[in-house]
Amino acid sequence: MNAKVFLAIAAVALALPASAQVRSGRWGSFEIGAGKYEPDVDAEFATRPGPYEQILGGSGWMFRVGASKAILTNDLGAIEVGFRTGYFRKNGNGLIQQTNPDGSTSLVPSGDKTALSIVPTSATVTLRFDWLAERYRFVPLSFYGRAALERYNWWVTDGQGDWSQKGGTNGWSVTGGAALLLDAIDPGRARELDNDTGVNHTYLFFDVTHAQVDDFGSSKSWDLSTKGVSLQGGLMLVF
Amino acid sequence: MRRALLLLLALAVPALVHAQTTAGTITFVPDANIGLVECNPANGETIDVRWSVSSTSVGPGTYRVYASTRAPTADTTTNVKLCDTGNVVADGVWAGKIGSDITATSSASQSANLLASAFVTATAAPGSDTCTEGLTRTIYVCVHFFPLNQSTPTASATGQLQLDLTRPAKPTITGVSPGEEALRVDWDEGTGGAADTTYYRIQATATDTAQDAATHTSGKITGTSGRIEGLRTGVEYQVTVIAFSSADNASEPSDPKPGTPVPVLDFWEGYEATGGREQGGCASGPAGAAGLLGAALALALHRRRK
Repeated sequence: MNAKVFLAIAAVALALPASAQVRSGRWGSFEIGAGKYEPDVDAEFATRPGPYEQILGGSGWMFRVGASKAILTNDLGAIEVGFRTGYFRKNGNGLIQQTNPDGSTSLVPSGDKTALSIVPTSATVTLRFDWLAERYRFVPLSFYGRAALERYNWWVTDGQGDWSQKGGTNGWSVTGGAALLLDAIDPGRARELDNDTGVNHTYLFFDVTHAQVDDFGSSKSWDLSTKGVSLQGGLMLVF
Repeated sequence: MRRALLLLLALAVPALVHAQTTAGTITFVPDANIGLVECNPANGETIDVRWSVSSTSVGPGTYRVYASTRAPTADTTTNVKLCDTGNVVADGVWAGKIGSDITATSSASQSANLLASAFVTATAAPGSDTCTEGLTRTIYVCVHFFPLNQSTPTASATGQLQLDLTRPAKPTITGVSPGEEALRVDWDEGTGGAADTTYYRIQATATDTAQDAATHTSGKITGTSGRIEGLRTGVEYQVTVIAFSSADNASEPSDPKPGTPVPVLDFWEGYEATGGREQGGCASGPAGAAGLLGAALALALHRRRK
C-alpha cells in the first residue's frame, strides 16, 4: 500500500470522534499519586536554619489517594466532589547540646531519631474539561482544576517512637493539572476494560498544587503550607 | 506370560508395602537446639517434646522416650523405626531412656516436658564431661509405643536434637552515642567465634551503682547497631554487647565503653525551643470538618435529585 494513502487513512481514523465508541455511564473517578512536599514550618522564624531545616531537612514524598463523584456531567466535562487522603513522613535526628572548646554551646545531631508524620485529608471540588480527549484521539489530553479544604492531621515522634505532640491544622489548596488519556495507546484494550470493569478511561496525570495550611492565618498555628508549589503525578481511573 | 506378570505383581505389592518402615514425627519446643544453658542440669531447663506416632490411633499402653547417638533403625520383624535403648559399647553408641514411662491417651499425638540435660547425659560416653564448651553432637530421639502388657513397641516417632556448645565471636563496640534516657551503640561482629551469631543484646550498668543499681539489657538485635532504653539521664553507664548463637550460647562480652544519656530535643521540642507558635492538639479552625460535611451534603443532594 502506498505510504501516502496509508497515512491519509490513519489520519482520518485518528480524527474520527472518539465518542462514537460505546461507553458505560460516568460515576466518578479514583486516583493515586505522589509528589514532593516540604512544609513551610520555618516561615515563622527570622533566623536560619529553622527547626524543620535543622532537624528534618528538606522535602519528602507525600502519597495521595482520592475518589470523586461526578455531580454534573456534559459533553465538555464534569464537576466532581470528592475526598482525598494520603501520608507524609520526614525523619531526622534529635538535637543535643554540645559544649565547644571555647566554652560556648551549640546544638548538634544526636543518635536519636525524630519524625514528623502527616495524614492530609481533603474535601475537593474538581472541574474537569475532557472534551478534547473524548472528541479527538489525536489530542488525548484532559485538563482540570481543583479547589480543596484541607485538614492536615500530624504527629511528632521522639527517639523512642512515642508521640511528642500531635494535632491538626486546617487550610485550603488549589490545583491545576493535565491528564494524558492512556486509552489512546490501545483503544481496543480500553473498551475491553470498560466492558469488564466499568473503567471508562485511564489517565496519567500531572498537576501543580499550592496549599495554604496554617489554620487560615491563626497566630497559634504553625505553617504546614507547601513551600512554593508542589508537583504531583499519578494514575487516575474514570469510571 | 500375562498370567505370570499378574502373579508377580500380586506377590510384589504386599511385599513392598511390608518393606516400608514406619515412624511418626517429633517436634521440640522452643527449638531443637541444646545450648550451654540447657546442657547444665543445675539450670533445670526443659524441652517440650511433642510427637505423633505412625498409627492414626493407639490403644491403651505406654510411651517411652529414648535418646541415642546413633540414628534409629527399622526393627527387623515389625519394621517400626526404633532407637537404641541402652549403650552399645562395641559400636561406641551411647543411649538411654529419658524420663519416666508416659501413659498413652487414645490420640496418636501427645507431648511431655522433659529435662534438656537428660538428653545430653544419656548420650554421653560414661565418665566424660557432658557439657564441655565447643562440643557439638546430634542426638537422635525416639518415642516408642508399647501396647498394654506388651514388651515390643508397635509404633514410634523420631526426631533430632542438636547439642551445640560453641560460642560466637566477642563483639567490638565501635561507638556509643547519647540519647534521651537511652544510648545508641554500634559494634563490629568480631572474629574467631566457633559459632555464627544469630542476635545480639546490649547491656548497660551504671559506673556508680549508687546512682542506678540495675543491669539494663536490650531486646534481641539482629543488626550491628541498636539502642538500649530505660536509662537515667546524666548517669554514666558502662556498655557491653553480647553475641548469641542459634543455640542461645552467649559470647564473651565486648570490652565496655562508657556513655551518658543526655536530654535530646526531638522535632517538636526543637520547634518549641526556637519559639514556635503552634500549640498542638486539635486545630482551632472548623474548616476541615465543615469541608467534609459540605462534600457529604453535596453527595446527598445529588442522590435525592436523582
